[in-house]
Amino acid sequence: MQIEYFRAMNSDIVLVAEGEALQVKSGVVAAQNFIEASEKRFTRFSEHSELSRLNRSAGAWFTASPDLFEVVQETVFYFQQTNGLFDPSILPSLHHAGYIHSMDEIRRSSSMPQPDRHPSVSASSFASVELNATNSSVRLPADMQINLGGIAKGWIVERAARLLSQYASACAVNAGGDMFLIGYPEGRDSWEVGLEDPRNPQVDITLLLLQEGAIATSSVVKRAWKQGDISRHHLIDPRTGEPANTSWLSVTVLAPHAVTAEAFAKAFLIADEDETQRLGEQNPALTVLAVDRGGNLTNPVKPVESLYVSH
Amino acid sequence: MKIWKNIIRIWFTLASLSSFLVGWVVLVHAPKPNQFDPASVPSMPRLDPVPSLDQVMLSGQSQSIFRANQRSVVLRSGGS
Repeated sequence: MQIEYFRAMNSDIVLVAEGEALQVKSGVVAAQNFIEASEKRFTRFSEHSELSRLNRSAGAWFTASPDLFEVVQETVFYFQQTNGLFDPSILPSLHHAGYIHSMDEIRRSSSMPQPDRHPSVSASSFASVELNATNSSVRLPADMQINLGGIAKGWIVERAARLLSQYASACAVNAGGDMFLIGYPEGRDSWEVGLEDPRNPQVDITLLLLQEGAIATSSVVKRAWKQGDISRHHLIDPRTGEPANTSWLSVTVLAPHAVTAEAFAKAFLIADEDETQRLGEQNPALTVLAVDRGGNLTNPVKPVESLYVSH
Repeated sequence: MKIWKNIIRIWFTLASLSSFLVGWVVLVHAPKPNQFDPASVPSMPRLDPVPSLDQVMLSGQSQSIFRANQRSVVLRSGGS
């Protein structure tokens, strides 16, 4: 089994692959190149990225690359599926909360991020984004700026895993805890995935035995900072434009696709009790695990089947 | 004076002899070591080759999102 570690998308990336050594090595290089190229396309922290150019063209039609068009399409779909809880048009709110630079830069810098002067909520709804599939073009409302951070990461993770699987008999791509699993390690019928305790990241709160597919975790403790005396995190509630006031420290979703897991992990973390039940009923195929502020692991939607190995 | 010398000589002799005999008896009744039987030694587990120091340093492996041992790789999900 070959393991490659590197840093991209402000996350630790791990590629795990099994197969013929030289083939796997080529696959790892291809997957790493794909991840790094995609990061350049989707980052909001570079004014030269395609996403930044899309944001600058708000109000006009923008001809997107097939990759960006696909991610925006997925984003519109999951905005609808999560009843608007997953909303990438919260970029002004992220800026307002001080998340102006990447977390790597914020951690390196000794100064606290200060809020900018932008309003915290766009007047336009993300539902008013227009797509034209015939020429891969997108039109954002003139006052809208979008952030594709999480969903783009999910999309990249699954694409990279599918690319790597062309060179390997089994593989996994893990980007900061969002991962996609293909095949199984030799002699096994599942992947072992430790679910990190948000209160003590060195410790796993449980060990999951997972089949092929995706897992994503959203956490209010991972990308968090102080703004004056106020604690902030990056998971914005689109209804208030402020970091979500949630009863969960982290929410993990298991799904067939990484974008699904990523979008619903955010949505379930932000959702109140009624919205959680509604989302659960509308999406019975999802498995949701949440850690509350007391450090208790629960399923807010329904009892979990035999996923747990140990507590 | 001479009597005391003789008493001390006899006392040393008796003490030495009795210590020797006690030691003899203890060893005679002590459990015997097992005979070495090569067949009884369990076969050693076959270990994967250890990666070179360069490999480890270049990969910069992090414990934060995975753990690896000879048996398996445990990936970790902690949120982003």
